[in-house]
Amino acid sequence: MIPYIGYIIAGALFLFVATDILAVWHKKLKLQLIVSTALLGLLALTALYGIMSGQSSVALGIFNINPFSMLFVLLFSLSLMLVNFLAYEYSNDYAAFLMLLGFASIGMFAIAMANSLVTILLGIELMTVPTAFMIMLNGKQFVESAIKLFILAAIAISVLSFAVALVFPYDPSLALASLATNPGISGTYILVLALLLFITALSFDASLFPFNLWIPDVYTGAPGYVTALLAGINKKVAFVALFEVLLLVMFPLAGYYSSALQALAIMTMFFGNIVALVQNNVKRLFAYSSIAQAGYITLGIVSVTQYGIEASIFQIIVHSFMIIGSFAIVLWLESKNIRTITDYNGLGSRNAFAAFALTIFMISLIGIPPTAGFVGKFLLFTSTINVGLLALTIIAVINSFISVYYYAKVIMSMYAKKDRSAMKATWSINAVVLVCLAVVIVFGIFPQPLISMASAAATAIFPI
Amino acid sequence: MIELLVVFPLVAAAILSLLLKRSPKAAGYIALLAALATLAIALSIFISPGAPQSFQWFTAGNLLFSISTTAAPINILLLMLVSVITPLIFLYSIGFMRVPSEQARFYFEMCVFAAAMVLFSISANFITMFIAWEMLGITSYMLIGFWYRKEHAPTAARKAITTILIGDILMLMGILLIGAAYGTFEFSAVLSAPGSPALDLALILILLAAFTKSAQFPFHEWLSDAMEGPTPVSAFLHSSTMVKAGVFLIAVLLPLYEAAHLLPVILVIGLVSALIGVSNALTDRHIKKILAYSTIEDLGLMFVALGLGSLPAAIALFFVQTFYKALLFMGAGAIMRANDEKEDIYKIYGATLSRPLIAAMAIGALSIAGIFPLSGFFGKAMLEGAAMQNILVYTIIFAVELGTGLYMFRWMFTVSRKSYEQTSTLKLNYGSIPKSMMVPIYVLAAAVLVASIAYLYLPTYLQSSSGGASISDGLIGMFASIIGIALAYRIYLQGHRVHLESTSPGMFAVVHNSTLVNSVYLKITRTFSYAAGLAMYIDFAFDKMTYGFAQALISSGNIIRKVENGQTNMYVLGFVVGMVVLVLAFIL
Repeated sequence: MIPYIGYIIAGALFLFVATDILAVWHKKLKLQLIVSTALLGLLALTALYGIMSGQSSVALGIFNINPFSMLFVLLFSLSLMLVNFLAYEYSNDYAAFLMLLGFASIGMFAIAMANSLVTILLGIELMTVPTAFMIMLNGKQFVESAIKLFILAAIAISVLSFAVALVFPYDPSLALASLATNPGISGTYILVLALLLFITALSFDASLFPFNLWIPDVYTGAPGYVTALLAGINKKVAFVALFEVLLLVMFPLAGYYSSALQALAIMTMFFGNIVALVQNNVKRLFAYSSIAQAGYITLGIVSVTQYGIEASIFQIIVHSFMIIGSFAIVLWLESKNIRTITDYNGLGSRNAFAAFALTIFMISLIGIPPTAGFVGKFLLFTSTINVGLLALTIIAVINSFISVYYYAKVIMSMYAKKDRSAMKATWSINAVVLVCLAVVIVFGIFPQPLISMASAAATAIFPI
Repeated sequence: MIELLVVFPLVAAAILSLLLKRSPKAAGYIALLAALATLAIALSIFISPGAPQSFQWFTAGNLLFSISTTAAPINILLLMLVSVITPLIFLYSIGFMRVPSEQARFYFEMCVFAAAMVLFSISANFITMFIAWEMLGITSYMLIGFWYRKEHAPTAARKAITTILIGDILMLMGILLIGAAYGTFEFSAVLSAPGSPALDLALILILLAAFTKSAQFPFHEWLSDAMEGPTPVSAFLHSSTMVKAGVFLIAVLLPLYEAAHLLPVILVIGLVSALIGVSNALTDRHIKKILAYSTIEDLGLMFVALGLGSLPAAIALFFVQTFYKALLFMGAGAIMRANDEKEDIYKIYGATLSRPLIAAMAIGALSIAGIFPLSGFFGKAMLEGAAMQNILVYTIIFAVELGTGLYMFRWMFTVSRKSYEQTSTLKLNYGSIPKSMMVPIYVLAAAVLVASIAYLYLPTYLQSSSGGASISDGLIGMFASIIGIALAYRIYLQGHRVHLESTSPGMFAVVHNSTLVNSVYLKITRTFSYAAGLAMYIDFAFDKMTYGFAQALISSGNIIRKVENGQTNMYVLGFVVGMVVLVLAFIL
């Protein structure tokens, strides 16, 4: 059965991109929305089957088929579906957007199933460059954000290729496998340098401080659905690449990257949470919040245990839905020129569902039961405390409570004043928010299935 | 059976949030119905307590997360208290909450709170307890800020949530430590586990968390500010149920604290808080804040009992305090209603105009002062019995008792003065207090009388052997209270009032130390807000800047120049500096 999974995924991906390109000419947008959703659905189902069957193999020589890769194919196809719906409604040039999304999605899926460093390098490139163009599609005022992203991404990619080059002397195949020492090179400093360059380059997309300074500007400056794509998928892809590089290639250097990431995680959490405290623009606030969340996700890698990776994977999946749902609402309100926290006044009476959903997303981002965010954070914090990183855990817990203040500001504002003029959200916004809400609540109350999947994925990727 | 306890209030909350925008009148009755249903189930559990239950929530790694409930005597005691008080409060609220548009929101928050409190009372492991604990904090925050248009309500709510969040951080850390050290979250397993440094640290963290929730020094100031919330909220959350969560948790874990030699800490903090409560209650003028400080004193005394290692005394106080404090708060709400919602006790008159009301209030006040044979006396008697061996503690308790009699009757005598100008309006006002507000007051007054039997049954019910305190133990404390009451009579009724505030302001500042504590709080929060302000500079690219630049540059048509507004350079700089620092840190 296993080869079929590879063929089906490759075929569906090919059709997805091909139909997206064709759509630029035939312009039957509604049809294309249905076709792309169906193809992404096929990908998701295949991936789900792949997780269930639980075997691992290599398909077509380049695709790793195992629970880890399949879980992320599942996540990316589902969240691409959501972003696709948002873009259909709000993009000026949906056909062109979809074409770019198709290219970017090859990068995402390639990284999820990568079995070599070259695939990761190409995947990151393939993902980031179209994203910059997606931002630009919507008009001149977005060019600024696009160019910022483009310049920074170019630097990150060059650093990444240099890192790959440094690995070459140790393993000319550049496969995702633990490195042997090269008898011709004494010491490990070249490898350590490569490791740090990998961390630097991937931190750019994973938004770890100080490689994330572009995030607030680009997130705020980009159209809402691209922001959802950046925060909900691109960032997660970078984490997947981090997992693959750190666990499969660089595992002998675990001590090094654990302490490096520990420092980055602490700075990222403080940076995200403290600066978010003084934000007034809600979209920007969510940008900082998503930075802080990246810090929490990193905690699981810091602990370098299978349990920690499991916790990280869980939080990645859950956060993806929380942030896409939040940005969906932000996008819709932005189109009605509602941007700042004061503008959100009275949302509770204008559209009760949106206000309720945003409240739940925020409660989940804070990490309060019974939402999936609580489970994720609890797993992450136990993972660090299990390996004795008490100070780090305390910092993380303090941070997660600092975040209450800025989320509570928005919640209070939404329910503060009564405003009689009701607002109706479009069907696509409602659908996306409903799906995200369901994920957040269902996996908050019954987290076991998702934990089992994350556990299977962690087992597949974790060495030993 | 035990799950239904939580289900009813939550279902009521769901109905309230979804259906009741149109008919606000029904809101109170739906909540009341849910509360009565919960009471019925609680009664059936009281009669036949089932075995502890546990259902697996999820497992991760080798940790098992489960929702466990238990029906041990101490849990049932709290459960019964909560489920008896809840319908009374809801009934009182039906009369108290008059604005239709507020109804659904109010009862929604109250129902969620009631569900959390019930869950807390039956929790058998740290996970369940923490879920309830968080819900308690959040609903408390929402209810304190319920009248967010009032001048001080948002500030008070923020102060409460800040203190409670500090507690939540500490609590979560404690739980994580216990989970990491023992691989289990069950109370029973942790109670029988051998001690370890990790456990000691966790116990200290949990104790501090309990102090924040139960408003003990130095975390006590939020409770008096919490009086900005509606009176039913004060009577429910901030006197009789939620604030005692901390005491309850420590009571459950008491053997661990004993083994870790932490009892003296509990004792000292309890005594300090009791003294702070009394001194502020003596000097404050706000009708509800005086009662709030009195609650801090009550909770302090409960911790004193725990610190002395006497679980029965703590639980006896815990039990009797519920009734008299809820009673006094409800009475205060009724008196405020008759006096146009005035809050300064020196501007409130004529409580004697309603005979049944003043009679019920007198029962409450005498009970809190510990006068035989009201239930308060027995609680205090057991405490004093436990404190007999320690003369210093005993002396402080004596002083606290004296102060209690004094401030309680200062309060009573002041609000019952006659006002000669407006007797007729007041009479009318007192006559028109809704029945639904008066009935719970009478019921609670009766409960204060009946609760005296706790003295006979509580120790046996808790299956503890060391409960025996004799009535004579309480007589000295009662003597102190009577001196206090006599002083109050002489000072406030016969007009020998001393204006401490004008005659000796230094002394007043020490006694009324809430101002002092608040300024310390302010200093701490200021420091943090400076830090946050500093962070603002890190965020060098503000929205306005971005928008302004974008607008200006679009009009000039020069796209590339946008990139040269300095931001991108900074981002690249940040990237490169970060990379270099990272590399240098590891290579060198």
